[in-house]
Amino acid sequence: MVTLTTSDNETFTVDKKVAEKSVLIKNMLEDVGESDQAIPLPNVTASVLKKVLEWCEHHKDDPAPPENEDKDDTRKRTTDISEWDQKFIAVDQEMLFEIILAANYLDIKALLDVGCKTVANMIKGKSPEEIRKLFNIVNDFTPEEEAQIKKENEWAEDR
Amino acid sequence: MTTTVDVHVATTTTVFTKASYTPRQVSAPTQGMIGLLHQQRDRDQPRQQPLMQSYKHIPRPGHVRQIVANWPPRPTRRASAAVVVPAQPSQSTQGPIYKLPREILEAIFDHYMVAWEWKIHADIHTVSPMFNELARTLRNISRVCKLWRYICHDSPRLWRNILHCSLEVELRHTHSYKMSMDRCRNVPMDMWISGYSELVEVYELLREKDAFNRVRSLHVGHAQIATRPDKDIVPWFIHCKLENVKRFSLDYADISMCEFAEYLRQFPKLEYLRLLHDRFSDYIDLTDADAQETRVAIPNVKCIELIQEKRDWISQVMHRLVTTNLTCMSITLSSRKGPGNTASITLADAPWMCISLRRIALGNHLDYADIIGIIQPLLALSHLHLFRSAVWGAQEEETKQPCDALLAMLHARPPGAVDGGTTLIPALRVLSFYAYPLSTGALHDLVSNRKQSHSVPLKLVGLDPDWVKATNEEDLARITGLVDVYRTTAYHLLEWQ
Repeated sequence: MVTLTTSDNETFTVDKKVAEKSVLIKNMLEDVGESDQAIPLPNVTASVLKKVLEWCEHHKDDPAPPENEDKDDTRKRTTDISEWDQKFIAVDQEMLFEIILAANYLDIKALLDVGCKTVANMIKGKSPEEIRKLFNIVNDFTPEEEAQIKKENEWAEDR
Repeated sequence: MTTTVDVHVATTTTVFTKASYTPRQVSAPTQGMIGLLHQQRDRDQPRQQPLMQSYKHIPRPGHVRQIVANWPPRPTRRASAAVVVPAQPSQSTQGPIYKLPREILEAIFDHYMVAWEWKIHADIHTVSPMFNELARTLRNISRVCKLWRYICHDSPRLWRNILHCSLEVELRHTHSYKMSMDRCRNVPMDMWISGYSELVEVYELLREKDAFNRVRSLHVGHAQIATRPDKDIVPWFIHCKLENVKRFSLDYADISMCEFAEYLRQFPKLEYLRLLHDRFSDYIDLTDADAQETRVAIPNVKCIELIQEKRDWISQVMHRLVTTNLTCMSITLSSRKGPGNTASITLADAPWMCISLRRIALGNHLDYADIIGIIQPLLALSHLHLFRSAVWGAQEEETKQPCDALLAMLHARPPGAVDGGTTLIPALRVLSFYAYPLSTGALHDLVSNRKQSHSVPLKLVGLDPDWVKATNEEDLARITGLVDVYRTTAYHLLEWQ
């Protein structure tokens, strides 16, 4: 078993196989060997770590991705997300982005992919204004800039 | 006027931090070796780099604008133009997406892009809407705010798919190939070129930029390329050593296998080869009687996809190119009613040992003798994982016999095997049919009965997308309960690539 301590000082004791879905934790465990000491995760809060560990538990038996995988080769990538992952990631935006950040920090590539795909699917098919509204993004273009951008792209506007 | 739309972001050394997000000091009980190691990793170069670098080294949750500011903007074509600094929205107006660093936003946009990713096997009518959608996507992203615009234009990965095609009417939304080649900088390019003059234009641009080694995959479509010595037109890719091309696809080349085998030497890293000929192709003097023994050693070729009408040509490809490294092979007859279908195509045509073959897909093979001839050599393949058979436009009764033969032969138990023993092909996990309609009647009974008798896990894929749309919910539930609907994509299942 492995003990993890979050930024808000909560501890989680999990199976080593589950914890090692995180490459960060796996490497730390390899470096220190057998130890009862808790691993501090100062960038992850308890509520987020709980979700991350739920994902790791469900996927603990998934085969590891090949080490020599071509990072630029995206042929096999799609925006498809498994049914379980879709339910797992059906959270509010605050939690969604926290999970993505935690997956990045903990180096859990598959979970990061799920998060990125989810956001990509949220964006899919939306106009710039709809995207701004969805994510509460400020339109910081001046009217002149917007007019210029529109002019640059008018050859490709929907007719 | 200019169409350049690059945006510059000023570099600043200011780091925006928020007290509540400052990494906490570890508590006393954890200040042991692990804690020290953890902090040491944060300070020093970690052995395992985090997935997104800037996030690791900037105090969380580094505001994305500050993270971008820490990235010196790379030179752009408007370096001398006015520098545009993205406005800082007030805290109350920021959504949580502002927490994401640039690299994660890039990864998200990349996922968005690959939803319609370029497909080397697609024809122009399929690829055109994909490129249009991709262009619309990038355009919408770049119009959300200045930051997203900057990231979009400054991320070479997002511009790696390059299309140059003569059919401008269909491709009105697509980005200019010149602009895409500029923006993708040194990222390997996936190029889709259609038309002879377009081929020449792309050649000139690649030569000017000395960028031949940046081509990762190349599709040449509908160019009516003649490569025979007595004709004037010779495509440039035959004269250029494209050292890094891994995927190459060629449509309608009037080309002999002898010549073609020689040309393929220009692709030393070739992994995937797709050739399309059909009934409209010119087959004059394809036999190369003087060079029957010519073989080309391209050891990296793992996947060959042939869409063909003539058995002779397919056999020649197999004779010359197939090595024991081949893991995937697809043979599609361009028409189930065409003359090529009257001849039996067998894997035994090729004197090779396809010991590594993991996936095989057949298209438009209806003839019972064909199926038997193809299946029999497979029975010795210990690694075969996927077998796919697709027949387009065929009616149920037409597909029943070959499907029956496939199932019977692929899953016949070895002589003397006890009940529950292994099949003849132990690795087989996906058996895929695309036949219309897999609804009721003989074919449905065949599939469901066979499935029940299998001794190994097996996916049966056979639902026609049009049928799925047309059928009522009750029937659909009954059928899908019996058949593992893996996907209803018409032909190029993900597992094939």
